Amino acid sequence: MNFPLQSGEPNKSEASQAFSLLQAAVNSTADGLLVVNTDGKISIYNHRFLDIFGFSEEEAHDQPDEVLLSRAITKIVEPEKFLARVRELYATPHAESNDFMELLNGTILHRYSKPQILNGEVVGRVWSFRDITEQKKAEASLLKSEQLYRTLTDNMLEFINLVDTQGKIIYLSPSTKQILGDNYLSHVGTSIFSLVHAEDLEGAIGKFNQLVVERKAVKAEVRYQKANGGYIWLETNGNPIVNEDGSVDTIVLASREITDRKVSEEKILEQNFKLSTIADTLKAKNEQLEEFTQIVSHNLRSPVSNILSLLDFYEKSGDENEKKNFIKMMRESGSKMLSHLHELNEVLKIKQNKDIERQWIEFSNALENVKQQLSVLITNTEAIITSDFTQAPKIHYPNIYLESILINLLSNALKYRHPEKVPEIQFSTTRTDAGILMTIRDNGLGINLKKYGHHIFKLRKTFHNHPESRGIGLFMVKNQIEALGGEINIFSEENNGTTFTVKFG
Amino acid sequence: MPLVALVDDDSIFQFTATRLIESAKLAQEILHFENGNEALLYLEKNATSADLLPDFLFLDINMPIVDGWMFLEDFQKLKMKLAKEFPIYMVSSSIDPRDMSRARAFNEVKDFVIKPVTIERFTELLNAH
Repeated sequence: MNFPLQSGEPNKSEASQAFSLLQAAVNSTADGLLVVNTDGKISIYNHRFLDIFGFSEEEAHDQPDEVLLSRAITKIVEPEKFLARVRELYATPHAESNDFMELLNGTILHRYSKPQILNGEVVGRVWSFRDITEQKKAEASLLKSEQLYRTLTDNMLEFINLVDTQGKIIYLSPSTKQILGDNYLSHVGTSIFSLVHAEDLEGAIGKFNQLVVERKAVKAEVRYQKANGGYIWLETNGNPIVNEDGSVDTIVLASREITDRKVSEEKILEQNFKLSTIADTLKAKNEQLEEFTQIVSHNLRSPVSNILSLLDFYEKSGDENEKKNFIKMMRESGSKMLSHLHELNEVLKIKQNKDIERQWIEFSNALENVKQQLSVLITNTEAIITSDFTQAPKIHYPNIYLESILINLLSNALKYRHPEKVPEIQFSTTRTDAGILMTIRDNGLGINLKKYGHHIFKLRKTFHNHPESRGIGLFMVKNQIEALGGEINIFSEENNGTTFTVKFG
Repeated sequence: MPLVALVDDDSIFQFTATRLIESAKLAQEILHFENGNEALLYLEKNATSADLLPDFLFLDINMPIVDGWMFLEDFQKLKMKLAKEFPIYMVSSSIDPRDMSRARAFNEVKDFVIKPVTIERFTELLNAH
């Protein structure tokens, strides 16, 4: 038995030095080494060989070569195959062999074998064994994970694309076929953006650039064109593949179809819009109803309750003169109620008559007409009325409503003039996004809006001790304007005049 | 006998109410105000003279210039300065429940009386003090 390296003639010092060098070299290699001579005797082996085959130094030292070799063979998976290979090699002494073998303990070895040649003659065979178990395991697991990812991407319903930082397509998963058709791979090399719907392009490019610059995941909802020309809504998650140096050259785009969701969303939005329109209409109707309850409650019930009280008096009175007086008061109450009913009816007509006919009217003509109707009041008050309709000279509006608006606002301005000032009233029109806006500004008494603002457009509300105050005009005007989708507003300060703005619907 | 104030722009109601109160001899004197503003001016002017302040105040809701609600808001500030406390009866033809609950929200309002007001009702209200 030869341990660990044997030589027949180690007596010369030169040979002894060479021997020691060889011994060190053989033992420092990571491979297991075994040299067997043509007689089947072991000439050299190293520590690593013993390690690999699980022999202790003592065992190796004490066992005869045949026993050691035959024991080594029992540790091999499929030993017959190994022995057959050995016999084959010994039959062709010059052959080299390079292959793999596995031990029963799971170790995988890369086996390399070469003849030992001395003076041109084969005297033995060198075997080297490299433990490649870890390497094989890593390869196997890499292969496995690659197969797993491949299976996943190939079978997923999601559409997976790889693109470069310019958006050029590098890879398309087979699922993309559903969108791009059988010829889907022809898109590889083209820009992903050539598939994006024109309306979504700007947003998609913005998100993509954000991803490239910030190297952060982004999400976008984008329409892509299908092979058949139609569009499909996709929700795309973009993730950069960040290299070790922090740079990015590949981006993973994973998309799933959200067309159904988008269609539903649009339907919901549409329904919401309809519902909120209905709600607004209902709210407006409800407010009108509340307004009418108030009118009926106050303005109609009060003359009736007066009539009932007077009737009671009448029945109990014996004085003819007094009775005549009661009758007179009852008649007064009756006609008051009749006029309230008439006004209510007028307002109801306005509210119901949304489709009233419109015609083109010149503001200047309409104002002249109204000034003629109020000429006595204008002359008496010496009012100065100016107008500027150059920005919006004409309007398509119901003539009777425009006349009513002008007559009420002008007479309002004249009625509530300042006692110490010459009344000045300015009319003007401008164009706005919401339509034509008319402004009526006066230098009259003005009104404390903080105190009276919430009542200004209500029926029978007056805020001045004035004999002509009836409190119907503004209520009517507001109803006419609103019935056509417009709006009236007031800006005023006590003693500082009043400005009304009318947004025509 | 109490001093009664009627705050109402309706001349016929002023007439019928006055006649009823006088015929039943329920008041020493009746003060008439056409709207909330007139009533507030009177109260402010006579704030320190307890004998000139009313013992009962009947307040209409719908009136020009200063209506019943505006009167109540101003009265809340004025009442500290008054030499005398007195109950306010809200009198209205309104049967709108919102008016009633709005009136009840004011501590100063003792009751909500719906028009027409009968002689029995006036007797009951004016003897309640």
